[in-house]
Amino acid sequence: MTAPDTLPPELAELGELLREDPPRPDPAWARELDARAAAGFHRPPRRSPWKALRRHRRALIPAVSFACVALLVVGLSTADLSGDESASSGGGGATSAESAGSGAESAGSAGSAGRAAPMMAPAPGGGSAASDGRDRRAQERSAALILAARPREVDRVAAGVLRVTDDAGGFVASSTVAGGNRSEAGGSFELRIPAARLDRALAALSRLAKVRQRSQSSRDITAQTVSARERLREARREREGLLRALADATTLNETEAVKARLRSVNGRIAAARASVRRVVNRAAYANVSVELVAEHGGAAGVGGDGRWTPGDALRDAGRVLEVAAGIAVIVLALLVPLALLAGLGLLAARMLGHRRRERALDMA
Amino acid sequence: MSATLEPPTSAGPAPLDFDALYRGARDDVYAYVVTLLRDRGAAEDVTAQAFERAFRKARSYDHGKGGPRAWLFGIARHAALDELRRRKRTATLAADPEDASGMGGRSVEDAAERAVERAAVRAALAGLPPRDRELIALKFHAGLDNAELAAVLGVSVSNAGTQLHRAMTKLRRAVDDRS
Repeated sequence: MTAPDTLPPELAELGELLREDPPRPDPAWARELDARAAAGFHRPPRRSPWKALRRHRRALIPAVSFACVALLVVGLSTADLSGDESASSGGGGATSAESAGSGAESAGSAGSAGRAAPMMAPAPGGGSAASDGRDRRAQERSAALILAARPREVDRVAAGVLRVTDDAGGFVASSTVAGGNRSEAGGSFELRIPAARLDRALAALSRLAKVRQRSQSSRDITAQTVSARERLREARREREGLLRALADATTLNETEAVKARLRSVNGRIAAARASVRRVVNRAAYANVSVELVAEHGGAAGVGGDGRWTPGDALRDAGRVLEVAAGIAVIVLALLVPLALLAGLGLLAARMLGHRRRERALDMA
Repeated sequence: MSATLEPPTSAGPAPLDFDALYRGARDDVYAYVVTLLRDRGAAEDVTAQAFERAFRKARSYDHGKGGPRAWLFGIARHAALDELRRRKRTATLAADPEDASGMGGRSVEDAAERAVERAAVRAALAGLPPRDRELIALKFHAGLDNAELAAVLGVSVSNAGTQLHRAMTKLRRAVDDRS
């Protein structure tokens, strides 16, 4: 013990009295505490979560690694690795998988909202199908797709376009394809697809290659259909009347005159039938325009000639590192403020605890 | 109880000898706590709790933050103040049995007079504010020097000396008022 050498003698004397007479513990309690101390203050150890984690670190390492890899994969898949500016600006950079995932029912899902027309636009004049007394409204539907593929894959995609058209029960109105590994490889197709299978066919086409642009439109042709059928009915009624007149004709002149009118009416009937057939076909088959373009620089870093060169590999590696660094920055941006908040909270809790203790001393 | 809680290293500071610390400080910690709380039962519990906490924290003992006794009394102080917060009440210090130790060689009259003086000092101490009681208990019951006192209270050494002087002056005045 250190002597209170800084105190004046009269206070030091008090200190001596205090030192001579400190409160002493009860011997029984002291023995008990000695025994507890000798036993190492034994009590069931509290399980620290960190210790528990440390115990299972062997199992945790793969889990943490998997989480990191999953994070990286998610980051890479959400990032556009192609670096193809035209793809991202032209059609939203949607991949075929995305198009398929979004479902064929959503109109213009791969194209930008501004470009894509609604798939089932309301007919001019509005109203529901039954509001004007017609059971069904006739719609003429059309769609346009721009697909991008590596030059060496143009032939495969072109074959896929034909296959999808056949599967849908449609036909190719016209097509041009330039295949091979040339940079000008590509093609264009004018397809007629049954309107009832258009959505499914578009989804299948979108899966063939990267969709750069996709748009759909529909036009109400109910009035034209009704008009063509009405003209056909009128011509038939007129012919029935002429046939009755022919039966009633008594003179040769009357007969010839009626026959001449019948020929004219028959011609109008044929024209009306063709008109009805045309308008029905317009409603039954959708026009689908597919443009297939070669993608230079390749989605997976493939060169214009279709080969994956060391330069492409370096570029891809740089891009992967770039994305990984981006993910790390995002994670840090989340963790740093959280750590700061936690630190401030801990500091505040300690300060509060200290103040409460001191206040308890003052209030005692 | 493990006497040494850290493996000795040639370069680092000496490991904390908890066994020696416990043996040397058990009664001092109790004296400090009972002076602060003025409740023997609570003081026993708090003292035991303080040693238990110290035992569990021994591995995190930092030599750079004062000596082992200052560290131990810091823990005891926290435990005592936590007890004060919990109870929000005080109990009167039970009278200690008269201790005849330390009176060897003195006459019976001198010893009796000394015992009366000690009783007066003890009673005066019990009437002081808690902060003053704490300072005096740390200094004269626990035997801390001013540097250790400062480490326990979280103040500078000179401030600790000044506070102690004021507390002792108050005690002197209280003793004089009683006589």
